[in-house]
Amino acid sequence: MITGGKSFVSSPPAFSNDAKRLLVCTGNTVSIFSTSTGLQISELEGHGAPVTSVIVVPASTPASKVLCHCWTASLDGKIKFWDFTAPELMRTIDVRLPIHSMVIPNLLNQPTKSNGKSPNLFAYIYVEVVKQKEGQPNSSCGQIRKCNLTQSRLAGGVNLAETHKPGCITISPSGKYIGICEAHKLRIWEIPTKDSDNAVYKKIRLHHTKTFTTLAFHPTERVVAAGDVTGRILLWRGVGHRTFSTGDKFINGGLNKDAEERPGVRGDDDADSCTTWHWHSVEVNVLFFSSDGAYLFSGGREGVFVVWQLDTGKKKFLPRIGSPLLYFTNSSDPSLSSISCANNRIHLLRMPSMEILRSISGIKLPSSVSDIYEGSGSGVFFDHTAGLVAVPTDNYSVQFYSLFNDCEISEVQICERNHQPGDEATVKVNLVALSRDGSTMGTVETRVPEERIGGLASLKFWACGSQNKDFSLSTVIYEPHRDAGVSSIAFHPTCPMAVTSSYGGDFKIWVRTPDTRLKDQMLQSSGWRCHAVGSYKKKPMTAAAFSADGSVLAVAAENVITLWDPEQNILVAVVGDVLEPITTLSFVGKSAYLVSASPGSNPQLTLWSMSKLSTSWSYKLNAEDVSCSLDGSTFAILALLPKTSESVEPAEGTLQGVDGAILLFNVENPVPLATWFVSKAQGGKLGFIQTSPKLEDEFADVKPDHGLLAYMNSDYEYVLFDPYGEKDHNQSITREQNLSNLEEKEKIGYASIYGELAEFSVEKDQTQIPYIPYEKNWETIFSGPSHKLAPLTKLCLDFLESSLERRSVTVE
Amino acid sequence: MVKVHRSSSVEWNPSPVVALATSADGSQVAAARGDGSLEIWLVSPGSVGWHCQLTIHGDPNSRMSSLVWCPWGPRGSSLGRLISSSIDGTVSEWDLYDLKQKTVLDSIGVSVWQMAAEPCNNSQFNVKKEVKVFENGHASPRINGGEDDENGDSEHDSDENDSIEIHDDHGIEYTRLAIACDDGCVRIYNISDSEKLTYNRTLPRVSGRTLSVTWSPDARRIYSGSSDGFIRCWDAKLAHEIYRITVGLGGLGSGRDLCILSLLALRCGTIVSADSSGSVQFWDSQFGTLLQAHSCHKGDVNALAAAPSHNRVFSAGSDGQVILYKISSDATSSDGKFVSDPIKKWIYVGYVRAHTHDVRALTVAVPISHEDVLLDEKVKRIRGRKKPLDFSYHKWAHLGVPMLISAGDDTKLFAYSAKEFTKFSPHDICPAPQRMPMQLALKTFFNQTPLLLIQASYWLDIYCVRVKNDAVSDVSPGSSGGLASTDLVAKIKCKASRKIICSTISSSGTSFAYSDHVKSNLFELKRSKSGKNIWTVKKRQLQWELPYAHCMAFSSDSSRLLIAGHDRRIYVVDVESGELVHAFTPCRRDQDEELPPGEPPITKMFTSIDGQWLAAINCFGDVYIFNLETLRQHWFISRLDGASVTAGGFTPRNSNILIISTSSNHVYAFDVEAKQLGEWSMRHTFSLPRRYQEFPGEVIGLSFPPSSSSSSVIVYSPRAMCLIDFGMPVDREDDTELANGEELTLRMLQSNGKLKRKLKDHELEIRHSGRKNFEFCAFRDPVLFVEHLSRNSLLVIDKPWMQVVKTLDTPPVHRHIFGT
Repeated sequence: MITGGKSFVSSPPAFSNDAKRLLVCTGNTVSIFSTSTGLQISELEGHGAPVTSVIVVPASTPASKVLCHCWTASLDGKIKFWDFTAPELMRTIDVRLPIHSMVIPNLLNQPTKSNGKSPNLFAYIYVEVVKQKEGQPNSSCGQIRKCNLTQSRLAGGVNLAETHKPGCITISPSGKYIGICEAHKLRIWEIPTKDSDNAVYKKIRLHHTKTFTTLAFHPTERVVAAGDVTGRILLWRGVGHRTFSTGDKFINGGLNKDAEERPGVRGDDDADSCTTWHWHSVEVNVLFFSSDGAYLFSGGREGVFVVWQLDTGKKKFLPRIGSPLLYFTNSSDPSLSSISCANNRIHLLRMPSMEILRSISGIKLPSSVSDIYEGSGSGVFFDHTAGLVAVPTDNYSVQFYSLFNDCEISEVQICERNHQPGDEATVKVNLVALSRDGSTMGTVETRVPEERIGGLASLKFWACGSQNKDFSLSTVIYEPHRDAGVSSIAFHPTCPMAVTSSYGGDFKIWVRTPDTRLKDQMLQSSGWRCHAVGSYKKKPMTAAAFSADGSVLAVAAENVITLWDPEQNILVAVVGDVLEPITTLSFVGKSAYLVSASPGSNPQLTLWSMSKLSTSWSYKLNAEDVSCSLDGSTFAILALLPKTSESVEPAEGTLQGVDGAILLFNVENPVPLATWFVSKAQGGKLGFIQTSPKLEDEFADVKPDHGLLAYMNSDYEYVLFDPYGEKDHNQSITREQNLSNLEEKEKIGYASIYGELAEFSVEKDQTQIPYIPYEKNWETIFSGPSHKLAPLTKLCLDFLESSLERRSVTVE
Repeated sequence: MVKVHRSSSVEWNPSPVVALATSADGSQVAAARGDGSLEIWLVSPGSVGWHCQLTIHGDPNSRMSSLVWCPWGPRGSSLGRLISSSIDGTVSEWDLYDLKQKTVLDSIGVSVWQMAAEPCNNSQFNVKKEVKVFENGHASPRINGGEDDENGDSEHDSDENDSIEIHDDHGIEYTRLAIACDDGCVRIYNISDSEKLTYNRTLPRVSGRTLSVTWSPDARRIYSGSSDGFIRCWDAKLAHEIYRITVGLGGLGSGRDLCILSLLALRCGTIVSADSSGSVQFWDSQFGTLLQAHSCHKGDVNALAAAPSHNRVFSAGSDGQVILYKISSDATSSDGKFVSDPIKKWIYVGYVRAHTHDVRALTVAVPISHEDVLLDEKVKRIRGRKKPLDFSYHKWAHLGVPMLISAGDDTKLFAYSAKEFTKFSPHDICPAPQRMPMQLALKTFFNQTPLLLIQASYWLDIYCVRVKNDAVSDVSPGSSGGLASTDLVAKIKCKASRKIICSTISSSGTSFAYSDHVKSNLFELKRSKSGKNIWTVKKRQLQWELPYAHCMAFSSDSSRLLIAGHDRRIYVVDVESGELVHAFTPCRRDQDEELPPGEPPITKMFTSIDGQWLAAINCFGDVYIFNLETLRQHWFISRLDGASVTAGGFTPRNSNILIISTSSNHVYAFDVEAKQLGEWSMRHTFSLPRRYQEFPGEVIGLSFPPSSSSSSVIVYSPRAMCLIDFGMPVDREDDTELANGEELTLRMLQSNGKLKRKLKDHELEIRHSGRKNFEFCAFRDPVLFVEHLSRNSLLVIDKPWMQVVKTLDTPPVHRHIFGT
């Protein structure tokens, strides 16, 4: 079983101490990437719920730099301690509360104690606590708790804060302060240097009129920066001079500031001054001080990374990142940092020059913008043969993602238009389809009408250039069905032919014209043109499919299925009548069966026998997606579980969040062969994937005509499994190991600057010509400038030696 | 219910402010305008609005470049000497007693860009005491910097140095004035006893133009900034250059020259420079090294100002922003240990953009005048969605709290809290800058039609006011109010370069008069029966050459013209014959009448309806009452709680009652005949409702209903008007006034449409509760003039500010001052 498509940007990543590895929270696991190649090295598996925090134990001494330990916290309420080189789980602490964020201040300001007994290590965790209140049975709230990691228990009674919603704890680089944003205020605590179970915390609050989104601490000074939803950055200086300066000696010198001496500070907040910078137009997500404290990094929804010079307020920009920024992480190497973007990419930055070294990109997350256009599916298309999935993305392109390797293959820009994150999307790629041989892609994009003017659908055919899916545009057809929307696109299995059906009541068959030479010797490049138009009683055509041999075209005309001869464009037959419009049509492999699914209030899944032109069997099931194996006679459906049945479902507590089921059927038998329960099924997709040739040997027991079944949920997390394997037998398909040993030899010193020296053999340099040393070398010993002479003690030895009688030796 | 007739057709062209200066005691601010006039504003704390105490019309042809208010003049004037420099190279002094501009330095041939007076080393508050010490010559000239409580320790060195310096100067203590000239020189003059400035020395001439100059706080060094991007530090005594700082990065010849437009030397030894590249830079004055640089302005930085404690600096520039910088010492290191020598940094804190045009000048003033004790009552405001921003002024403007004043090309002045700069929005000091004086003659010879006299800078306009009866509405500031049409009857232009100082029209409309800087003129307005032009204006030859006047008024029967001359006498002229009837000499005591006139100039005069009384008010708020029948001074009222008089008048109901409104927002009613405070005033003046204390804007006038039965008066400011009925009880219920304040802001914020219904409801409610007294009505547009047309109708002359902005000379973008 291969899982993948996880979000890399659900939580901030962490660099290892040598800045060669990046630890990324990916769902229930922590993936470790190499920063030099951007490829995954290994994975820490063990948590049962999404990991929310990963903290690398910093190296206090150069010797401990090789240690690769980290702490992780997860929503399953467990804190784990790992050696991530092995990777090996070392300890687990169960706090039984979902942890949303964790910081360990002691790691950063380790008290250098030499008395052997190391003090207790404390972590501050932001947990979600379900409170039982009368009236509102399930009101959850956030609490900041303290956890004694050394003794593996929660510090009793310590509850620093209680908020409405758990969020993120920010820690200062020195580990002295922790802070959270809570609506219109910041709350900051000072962590005592000698932390104990019942330490007393000094805390301050800073207020603002807008909702805060993020905060950052200055590494050396008492400066706090915070961003709000309107894009302002507030910079407090002298934070906590009154509260945090404990020493009595400290109070006297000019710090007796009266209330009016603090410009910009609201109310009685403990700060000297507050400066507002406003460059970002929308909310600020990222704030981070450079390690020397001279710069402040900020980023937000508009996808521009800004570097502020703290003293002067001058700005430098890294624009065109193309996606909202979420996190910024720095490494021990001052020139290497990472930014996480909302499009599931982590960019590694070379810092002073702000240049993107490389990107670690996951599957592009589904667009957060709700589907504005009616009837458009998620548009995800599985490439059966290549094991790829084509995903339309926010920035008007289609991403090809390898299911087996869990990595991006390529990206095709569908529409020539710059994407500005935060802007309202005006164009949406609705449909993507690939021909079976993968040589042609058809896409349908819709321009959203503004003020009901200018809405436009266009159909594009793309030709594949080479293996790695770089498509070139072949034909553009504007408004293929006048102003009606395109409901589906399907390719003929063998010949260059495609069909599009539209809600406007017709379908069109497109064929590719081969390269022809015209009379005037002009090369007429290949293009697609309309071959035939068909309609049935002006009914909206909602789905279309070719049979396996391509001889029959089935087009769903709302409630009925019309069968056509695609070449002649003759209506062959009309079958069936279902209650709701059919949205999915599929021929089951090479068998003479057709499966149709129609969701709605009266959902129906029907198997039609083509030989009898009648219903074979049907279920009242709300099928979200149907996928048929290419050759065999099985098909799988993704059925949404009815809401009401959820309580009756025996799955109860163990299957939380389950809202769908995958059912595997054989055409012969209405009893499903297998059933799997899945979550986030709404908007999910199913696809049969041919096992790639490389995997053939590993799947020797699998019949080659079945292939694997891929399920992708609405968050584009996917799982790839063998549907015919034993149900209990959780066959693990190991991923194709491209994760070679990436521990390449570190180049240090000279080599890191000038590269490796050319190897030369010492033996070769020594010529084979024998020579006899000049016997009277004492004559030349003292020649030459005096400052080049060797010390007298050395020369004397040589001189005496040479003056002695010696047997002549031939050196070979 | 009073009906309101609005008219917005007047031309109103206020002139930009080019320079500001604060008086030595910090209680007054002088603003020089582009048309050569000067305004003295009284800095007022608390909720009271600012009051324009004096307006002096100077030479309109010379453009002022800089304004300096020397702390004390040897001639003993308590106000100090207000000196202005001009682009044409002259330096003038403004005589605040004779209200005129006097040239104290004839043109030196080159433009003067900036002046700086030698800092007076003693406190602003014990100026006179220190003077006395020097005159005796025995007391030690060691001065303890009493006001420097904030930066006490840093001051000791400089104080010691001062004492040495004073001895060196042989005890002759003239304030020196450094003048930055266009030819690259800094010239130093002494402000001496004599009328003119005396030449002291010239610093060596340098390349470029010297655009800015300032003294170090110990007066031993002079810093000058030039148009080629250098700041030079000079020894003030030896006149040699100590060092120079190159501000411009590219040096000479690389693109545009960098102009140092303003300099500031702080007590902590930091020099602040503002230049044409939009950056404000902080330098170490000892070595001339750069400490901090901020380029937050998007245009020239024109002005700099420091708070009195010298720990924060304000800059303002042609982008309309005022930016605050603050010194910040980070006293902790990363490990929390105490650092003995904290690193001080000047940090950018925030900006306020109140001006729509370039900001030209900044100054810091400290209100020391009377503050209302009532304000100490804590009133808890209901927190609403719309905060009553217009009322935040009284929260921060208190006695002794420094405030920053900015002014610029948009002709407005704004006051900011210097300490809580970012917390409060700025206060618009003058909502109607350079308001044109207007007068309404109600029942004129012409069909009883009211005539309106409007005094512009160089001409008088007389309009005939016609009310459209069909389009009248209730008291509301909405645009749906009834309109009044004004038809031009006559336009009298005076000679060019002679600005009109004052004017008046008689109540019958038959005669009017004006005065410029040379003489007073009397005119007769007639309506001819024939011809197209039915109005004729005839100049009346006065038999006696009258001096020019500061104020003029007609008696109520139009038979006599009263002229408050610049020689501080009040002349009574018979209009018919043109003969001088009498000349009053205002005085404080009866027996002083024979002495030569020595009282401050009369700026306001009111006559009673029955023609018996004349109230003359000087610029400081003293009131002189004359009996016009006996031609004797009847009474002298010393200034009321130290405040100036903003408006006044005799009631039509009882000619013995004089109503006075002061700059501290008090209303007094005097019984003139009995020489005492009226009965109403006895009871209520010191217990006026709180909301009246918070009257938005300066009270600029009173209007009485022209009926002998009415006992009410309408008090108005450019922003609001308020009805006071002396026959009704004054109640001070705090809860209702709270609601009222909210209501007022609501009205000010959105004044038409559906809100009107709300207003009506509100008024209905008021009528039910029987409260009508001190009822506010806010205006949407700045109002220039309010007067009763009849008992129940009111003429309001206003102008939308956006239309005024369009007529301003400068566009609301940056325009380079240098090279004009």
